[in-house]
Amino acid sequence: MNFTDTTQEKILPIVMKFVNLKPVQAIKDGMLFIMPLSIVGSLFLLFAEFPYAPVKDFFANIGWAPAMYQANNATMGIMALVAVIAIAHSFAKNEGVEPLGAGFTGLSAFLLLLNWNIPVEEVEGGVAGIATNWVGSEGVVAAIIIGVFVGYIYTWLLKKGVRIKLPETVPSGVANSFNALIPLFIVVLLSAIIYGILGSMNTSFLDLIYTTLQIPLQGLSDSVAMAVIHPLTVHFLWWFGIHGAVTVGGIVEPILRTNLAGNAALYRAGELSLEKGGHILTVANTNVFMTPTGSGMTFGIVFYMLFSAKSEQYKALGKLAIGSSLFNINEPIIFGTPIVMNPLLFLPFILVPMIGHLSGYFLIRVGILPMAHGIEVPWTTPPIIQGLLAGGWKWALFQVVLLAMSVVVYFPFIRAADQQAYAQEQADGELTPDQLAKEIAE
Amino acid sequence: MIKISSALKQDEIVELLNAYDDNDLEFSFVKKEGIALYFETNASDLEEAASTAKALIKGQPWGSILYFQSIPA
Repeated sequence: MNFTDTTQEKILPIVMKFVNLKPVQAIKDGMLFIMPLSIVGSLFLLFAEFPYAPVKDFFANIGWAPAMYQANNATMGIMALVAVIAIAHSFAKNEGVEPLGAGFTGLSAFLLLLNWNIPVEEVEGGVAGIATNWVGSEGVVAAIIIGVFVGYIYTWLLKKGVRIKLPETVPSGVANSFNALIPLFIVVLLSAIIYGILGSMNTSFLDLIYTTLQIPLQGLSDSVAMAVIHPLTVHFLWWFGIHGAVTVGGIVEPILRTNLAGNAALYRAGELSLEKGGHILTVANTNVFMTPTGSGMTFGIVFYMLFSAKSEQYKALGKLAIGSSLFNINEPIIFGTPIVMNPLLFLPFILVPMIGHLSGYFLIRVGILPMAHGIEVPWTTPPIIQGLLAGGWKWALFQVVLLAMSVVVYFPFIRAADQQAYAQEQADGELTPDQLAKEIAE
Repeated sequence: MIKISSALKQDEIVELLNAYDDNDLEFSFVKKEGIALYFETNASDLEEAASTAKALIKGQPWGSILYFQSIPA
């Protein structure tokens, strides 16, 4: 059995089994709805907290800052609400069940399972209302769990025929609303029982999940181990020809995005620091420090191809790839070089993004780089501009350093690949071995 | 001609595209070069043919996690 066969028969089935699990698919599909909210919310936060004082003061002086914070609250700040609806909806949709009812059932369960009480220092027992932290970043893990369970129960009940059956002549819209009645009742009843039991213990489901699961998960996602494991697994899979971002990102990104939203809340309060619970690793770090110019941070390869390549193939590829690389799209390099399943480029393809991610982690930890402010920049934003928007001028400057590092680390490996390609081109052109050696030496 | 670059599931991709039977669009496997698979097609719009091939592969149970490229050749 050769290397490719081993990958296909041993690794691919395991990855496929995991990615195709119903809860994983629902989480992956559902959490995609969070990304636009996060990016649009970031845009308003960016204007409210513009990294250039005269602009920031201008918006504050004309009284627009509160409106921009409010826009951030209504987008990035409701990510848990959107997550629970979207995950339950995606679960039902993937199972071929009318999905909107599942989404709203998930929303009901989520609202039922949190404590409608806002602690206020001056008022004993707090005041009635929903604390905004629960519908935002602090409720995300609970929203994922509730969304999956509601999606599962809702779908299972409908597939088992537990519904109010109406004559076929009834319009589908009316029939769908009646279909939702019994699953909604059962989910609400179960949620009410859980609410009652946990309420008697002076806690709520969201509180419980936040303290026992979300805080440890966020801690793990924010650790030096994750700064190594994340780039390693993603690029390892990519090198094998398996989509690393789909496989790993679907699970890791929701937590990293939650970390970013947590940082945004602290930043707005002027309290963004490690001591106050700020996160070093967020979804912003992934784009800025791990994959600028595309997966594997292949800028070094493009640079070599543009300025040093001897083979016609690589010269042409460099010119073709530079445009898309500036927008962090590097499929032409990945498949044109190729990097996938190319043993010569395995090491730098894994190492370069890991060095970037890990060094970013340590520089933030020791305070040389600031933490992500809470701004999610679209992943196609060109490097340097991307760093500037996501973390300020120090992040932008560090991206320049990382791109230079990519040039240095890739150089010996891509040079060897280029020599092979050049030798092949010359052999195809029927040069003698002596001529070949001379050409390569030049 | 279109080019599909994929390190994995090459036999399945060839089988899938060769068997694709649409009145307006057909694919026929031509050759394999490393990770690249070349297909002749009767399509006049090669970009669209490459997109259709990509969607067909993505639609397979194993396609969603495959890292591959589909482009006109």
